[in-house]
Amino acid sequence: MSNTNSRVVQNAKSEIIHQVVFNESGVDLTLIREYLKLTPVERLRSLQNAVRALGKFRRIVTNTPR
Amino acid sequence: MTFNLEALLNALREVEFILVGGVAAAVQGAPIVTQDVDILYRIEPSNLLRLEKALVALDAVARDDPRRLRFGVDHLKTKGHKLTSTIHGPLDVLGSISEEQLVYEDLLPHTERMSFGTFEINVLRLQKLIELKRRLNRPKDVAALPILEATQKERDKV
Repeated sequence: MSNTNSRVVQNAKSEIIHQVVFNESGVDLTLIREYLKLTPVERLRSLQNAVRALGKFRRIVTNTPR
Repeated sequence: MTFNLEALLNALREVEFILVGGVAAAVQGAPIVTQDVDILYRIEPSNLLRLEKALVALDAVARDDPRRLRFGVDHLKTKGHKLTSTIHGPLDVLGSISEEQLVYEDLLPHTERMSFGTFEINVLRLQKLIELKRRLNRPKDVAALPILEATQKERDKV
């Protein structure tokens, strides 16, 4: 396991463990773990906020004179 | 139009449907961003009337069509895809999915009833979603697979 794909963390029992950060396909597992801590309605709101933020950003870019 | 997933799904609370596609994956923990809601509805006379009523309340019209066509029961009883724009965001209303034309009854055993506070909906299980995307083998589905598979693996650990 390469250093870029894992990190050293302490678990609940204060044991030092290697935690995989990216899987073999390069997927960021930390993001998935964060999402899995949320309830379904929190995940729905998170998605909603992300899409709204993207829309806002798109409008700013579109309205910015070049 | 304001993108409001909760309001959109809440407006469909009287309708029998299964949440499929990207939003189904997202509510099961996949960190993906998608802009349209995909639902597979039950093709049954009373459900079609409820769906038609919900679509009117959502002011759903055919997407990217200047005629602002609406979908009535005659359209909804077909197995095709009805892509709409609503007051709360894009909504894809599907009579069937995949090349095998799977309908509501085919996929209901592969769903999980999930609560979203004021309403509950049937969500297609991530494992089944992955299986269908693998079978479809379209570039956009294949591209999403690594994230969905990683999410499923992490879910299995919890």
